[in-house]
Amino acid sequence: MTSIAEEGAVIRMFHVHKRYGAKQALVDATLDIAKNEFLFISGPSGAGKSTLLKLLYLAEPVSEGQILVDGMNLSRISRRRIPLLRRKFGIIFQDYKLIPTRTVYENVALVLEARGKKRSLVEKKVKSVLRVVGMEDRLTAHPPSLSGGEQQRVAVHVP
Amino acid sequence: MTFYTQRAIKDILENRFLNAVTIVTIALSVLIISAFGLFFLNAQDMFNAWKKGVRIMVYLVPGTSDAQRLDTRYRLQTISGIQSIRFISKDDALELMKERMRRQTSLLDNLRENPLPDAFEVTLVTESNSPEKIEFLSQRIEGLPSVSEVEYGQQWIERFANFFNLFKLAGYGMGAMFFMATVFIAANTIRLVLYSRREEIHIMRLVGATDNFIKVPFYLEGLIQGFSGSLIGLGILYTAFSAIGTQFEQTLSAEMVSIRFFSMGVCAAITGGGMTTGLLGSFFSLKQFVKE
Ligand SMILES: Nc1ncnc2c1ncn2[C@@H]1O[C@H](COP(=O)(O)OP(=O)(O)OP(=O)(O)O)[C@@H](O)[C@H]1O
Ligand SMILES: [Mg+2]
Repeated sequence: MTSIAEEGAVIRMFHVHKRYGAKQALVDATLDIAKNEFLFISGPSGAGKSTLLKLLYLAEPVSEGQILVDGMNLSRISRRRIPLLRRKFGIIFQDYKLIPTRTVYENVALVLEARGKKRSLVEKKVKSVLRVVGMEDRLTAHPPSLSGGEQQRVAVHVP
Repeated sequence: MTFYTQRAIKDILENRFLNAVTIVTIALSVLIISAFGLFFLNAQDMFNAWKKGVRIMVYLVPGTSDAQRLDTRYRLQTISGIQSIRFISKDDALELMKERMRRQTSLLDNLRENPLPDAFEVTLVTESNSPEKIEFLSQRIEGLPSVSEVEYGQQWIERFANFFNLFKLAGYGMGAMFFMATVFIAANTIRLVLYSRREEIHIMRLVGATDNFIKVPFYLEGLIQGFSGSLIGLGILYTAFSAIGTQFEQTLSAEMVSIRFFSMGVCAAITGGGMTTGLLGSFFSLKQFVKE
């Protein structure tokens, strides 16, 4: 893992531990990520990569240590502000998290609507995003009828 | 807001069966409670009209002469608490009876002589309307010469008053029970909808949806269920009411009674109650769901 200690860091982790019950998923992780920095995190399966990300957008609570995201201390953030934190992230979930009963269009639109975007904007944005990933002619398809790669392309959420 | 409403309506349409169950439940509760209330309303109307017109019938001994009759009338006038005195001769009484029982006139025509007594109809001033006063007055009247019998409906009024209070209490109890049962059923259907949507709700959360964004459509769903359920319930009640009204129109007008439906205000209040039910249903299921 690369770590650049720097004043302008957008994301900072100090001695972060994560336990799932008795299972230690992350041990003493410390890192800073600067603005515009492009960072890979690699490791074997089960190393804790997904866990690290989940801690950042609070899908999982930290067991020990501190995390700062854009000035917000995640251990002190109020329940009400968690959505604001999450809106700062664009995430492609490992399991894509597409809703099988909704169309491609609805799946992408849902993310934008959930983030409080205006409807006129949502429509434009969904179409443009799907055009970028080359899925503009599958608007009304349902995820189970898509190939793995196609599902992955739909899962690209642009905040 | 229109966006939330659209989502709520879409949700209802996607879970048609569940929503239909809730709406029918609310409609049935509204129907039963309102039918009870409507019956009570009209019964009370009649009761009040009847109570207002408390009168004492003073029957005279057969063969009372005109002079004796005038004497009795004079004595009645000296009793305080009496508002008006009207003489009803036995011939008038028979005419009245014939008019009321128009279909059975032949029966009355065959009478060889008039079996009815002469009578005074005495109405009381409002202050004398208490059971004790009426009892006292009728005893005084009974003691007058030429009076054979005094009749009044007070016992019945008292009995009815007690019955009405019991009826009211039972109505409130029943209303509360129906309300709770309906909230429970509404909560359960919303819970099932939430359950079928849990994946979607989870994803919305993860990408930054606020609590309100997730909850408001379900609240609206509850409100819509309550609104449509109430309207259906009231609609059925009104239809039934009109049908019964036309059925018994003649009988009712002959008895000089009119029946009425709830006022617009009461209908609105009932609809509000239905909407509260739906809203509470959503509230309870969401409260539990968010905890999980
Ligand atoms: N919800 C959970 N409950 C219990 N254990 C968990 C949970 N999530 C992850 N783990 C465990 O924590 C460890 C780290 O998991 P994580 O998903 O972070 O791995 P990963 O590095 O993303 O792996 P992969 O490359 O396979 O995606 C694994 O051993 C996993 O079994
Ligand atoms: Mg992973």
